[in-house]
Amino acid sequence: MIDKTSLGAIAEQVKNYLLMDNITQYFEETGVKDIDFKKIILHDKFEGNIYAVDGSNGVIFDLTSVSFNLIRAGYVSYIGKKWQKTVLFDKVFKADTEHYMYQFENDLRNNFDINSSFILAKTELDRLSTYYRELQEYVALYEAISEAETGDLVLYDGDFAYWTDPFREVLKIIFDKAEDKDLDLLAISKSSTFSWGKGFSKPFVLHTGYAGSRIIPNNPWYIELSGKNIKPKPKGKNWKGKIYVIKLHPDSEFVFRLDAPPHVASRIDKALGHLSMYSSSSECLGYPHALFRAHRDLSIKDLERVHLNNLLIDELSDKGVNDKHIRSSLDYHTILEMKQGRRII
Amino acid sequence: MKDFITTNQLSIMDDDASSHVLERKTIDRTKTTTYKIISKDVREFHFIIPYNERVELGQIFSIRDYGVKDDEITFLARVTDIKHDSNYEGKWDTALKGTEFYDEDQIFNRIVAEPLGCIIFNEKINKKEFKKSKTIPSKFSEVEKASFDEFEFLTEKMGDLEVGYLRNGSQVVEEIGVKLNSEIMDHHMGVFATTGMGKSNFMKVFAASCMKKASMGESKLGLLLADPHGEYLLGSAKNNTKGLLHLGKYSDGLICYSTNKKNAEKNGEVEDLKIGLRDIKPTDILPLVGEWRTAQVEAIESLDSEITSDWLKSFKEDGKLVIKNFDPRTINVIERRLKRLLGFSYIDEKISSIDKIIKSLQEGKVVLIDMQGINEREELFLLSLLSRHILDKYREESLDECKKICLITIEEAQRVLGGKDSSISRFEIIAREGRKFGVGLCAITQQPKLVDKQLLSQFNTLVVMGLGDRNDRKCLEESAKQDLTTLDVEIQTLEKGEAIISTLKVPFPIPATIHLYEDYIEQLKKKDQTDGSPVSKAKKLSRPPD
Repeated sequence: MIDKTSLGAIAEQVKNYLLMDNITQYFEETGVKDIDFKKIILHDKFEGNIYAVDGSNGVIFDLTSVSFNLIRAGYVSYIGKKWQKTVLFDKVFKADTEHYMYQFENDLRNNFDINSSFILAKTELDRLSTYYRELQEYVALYEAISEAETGDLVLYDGDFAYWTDPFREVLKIIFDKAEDKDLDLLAISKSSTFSWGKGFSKPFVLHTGYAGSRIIPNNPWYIELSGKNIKPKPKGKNWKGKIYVIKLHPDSEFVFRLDAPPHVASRIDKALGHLSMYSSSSECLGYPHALFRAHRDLSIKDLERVHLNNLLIDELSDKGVNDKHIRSSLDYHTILEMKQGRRII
Repeated sequence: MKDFITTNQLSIMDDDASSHVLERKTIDRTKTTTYKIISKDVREFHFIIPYNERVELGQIFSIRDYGVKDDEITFLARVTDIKHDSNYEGKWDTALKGTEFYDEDQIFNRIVAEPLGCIIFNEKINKKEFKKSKTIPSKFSEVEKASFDEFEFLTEKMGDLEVGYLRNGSQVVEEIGVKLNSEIMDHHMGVFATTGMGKSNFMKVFAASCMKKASMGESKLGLLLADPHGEYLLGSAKNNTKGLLHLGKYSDGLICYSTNKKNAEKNGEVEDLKIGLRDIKPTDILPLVGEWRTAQVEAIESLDSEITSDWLKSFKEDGKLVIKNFDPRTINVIERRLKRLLGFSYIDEKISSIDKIIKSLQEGKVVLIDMQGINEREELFLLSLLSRHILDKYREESLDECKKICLITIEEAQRVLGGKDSSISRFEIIAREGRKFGVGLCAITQQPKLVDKQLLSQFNTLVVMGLGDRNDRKCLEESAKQDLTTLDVEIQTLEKGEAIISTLKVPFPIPATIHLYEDYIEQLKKKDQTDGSPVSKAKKLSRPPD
């Protein structure tokens, strides 16, 4: 058990990261100025559709060297404040570092007509299923964009800015399509690794929230990050869009990172006016409500994952694989956990 | 490309499977889980409805489970509770800062319903029949407000004495009349309600139905109705209510007596009540006085076993009682009280109404005894005396199969069924033994908790009309033959004129709206004019929106 003194010391360090006791230092070191913060003017006459895209994944069978993952992606659509529908699709992805390419290549070819090889750097291999989920989210995003009509708002849970391989081509197709259809495509991140400060990696988005709410206390606001002194640099290879920190409701405590492709960045006031208008729900004040719904509707619950695992074990039994085989194949941690019943994940 | 990965000798999965979408779903506003069974068990069904739609306690819903071929069941369930619920976890609603609820499909009301039974098709009789349900509806079976067709089976279960209409929540289902069964009235009936909830109105409606049957020669029940407040005879001009005499069409089903000469003189239909001296046994006088000393009771009982039928006539002439082995002072007290009895206007040396009263009851008529103006003890004396004569007569003729059942009504029944006052134990005897001889009690009270529990458990028909006191409700729930525990909240929230009726032969406690007597007698008149066809417009039950 950690003693109170040590805990106090840790708390002191956390406090240094958490609080921003010197706003001047923040302005000096980040290059942010008062005038960078802009008010968002609400556009309450928006009558278009709002689409929100999200995805999730969960392991349904883990053999350590290879795992089978349930991947779910999809989108929700709203007209104003009224939910219209949720579209989702499930896939099983086999995460095998020696044998993964064809699954990506197959999907890239079938959905985006991209025929290039799909090879990940060695350092990225343990994130195979995350990449596959991301690809499925792009498939869903493309589908939502295809369905959307001129002027609609399309929201993506994540970011666009680090527009590098392996999905650079995919994102280009998506942005082009969104631009052709004149859609307001925006990516909103629930978390951000942006930091500032010399010697300390202070949370930039959080501290920008403190600063912005002092400067514009009773209104939603945004700030564009071009040229700001933050880490990592808010500009990816080939990325021509812009990155923002936004606060969508004055009563909310939360601020978010937002990425906009170039054609949306040029009219960001209007797009944020629409977005802010639909970020005032009771359930998630200050966060785009459609993304809230997408997150809830598309998440894979633990119960569902375990259910699928049980079904899979039944299938294995039908194919002559008994429980002994299955247990002997498991990571021994699973045995140590002594999980009840047939649950092995 | 077919590429198999093997672990030992076993093939696990075809690689191509991962490239295919396993499931693609589109869920839109038309696909909803509202009005579908989502849980819970054999004793309790749960379903949800949109948060902005109304459902009421007591409302009956039908659940159609047609999923199993050749085993199609329609369940009926009554709402016992309504709760706020949502798809969000925790106390999300107390932590809100916003004011707008976006996702109306995520917030709903959870309806808790008690299964009443199920309607299934019986091939043997080629007809649908109602049974107690021994299973649960399949998950997501559709739920809708029960329609007239689904209630229709109740008409076969009902008796012959109409008292109201079936009620579904607060909606009246005029197609289904709620009728009590006269053949089971010797199993006793209790009418329970707090003041002003409609006990007197119920009794008048019940009596009117009895009168109608008697008048049509179809009666199976004689009803003795004591009227201590004069409300049953003529109603009340002050309250703009009518009495049984206003139902002129069926007046031949009614015989009226009054202890009040003026009432008898004013109304030709009302006879002067006369109790003959020979009608009274010594023990009959016990209810006249609240407290008797043990010696006095023993003296009276001793007298009861020794006297001749003219004992009271002799006493009236001599002014003396002869009771051996008792203190003269004890005898003096009894003499003094007997003299008071002899002073009552309805005590007569020669004439007695009792034989005619019993004969009318045996003919299945309603006998109304107007007791306006006499005190509570006299009322109990008269009722006790009449009850004794009725029970004796019915006992004598217990083998007569043609004899009608008799129901004796007692107002403020807690006075005589509390199990404490031995002077009025006759009513308790009727409660315990009356059914053997075709004599039942109709106990009317606003405080069932004061009625002896064992006696209360003898009552097989309960008419519950709104009881605020939890102990009263608990008492009834413990004594009822059908389970009333789930109806506790509903009983508490019953409006004036609404009732829950639990009775034999009807499969579950029936929610009813009791007819307003004044409307009912008008309706009876109109029915006669229209040759018995229903007059009132039926209120159709609406289905919930899709």
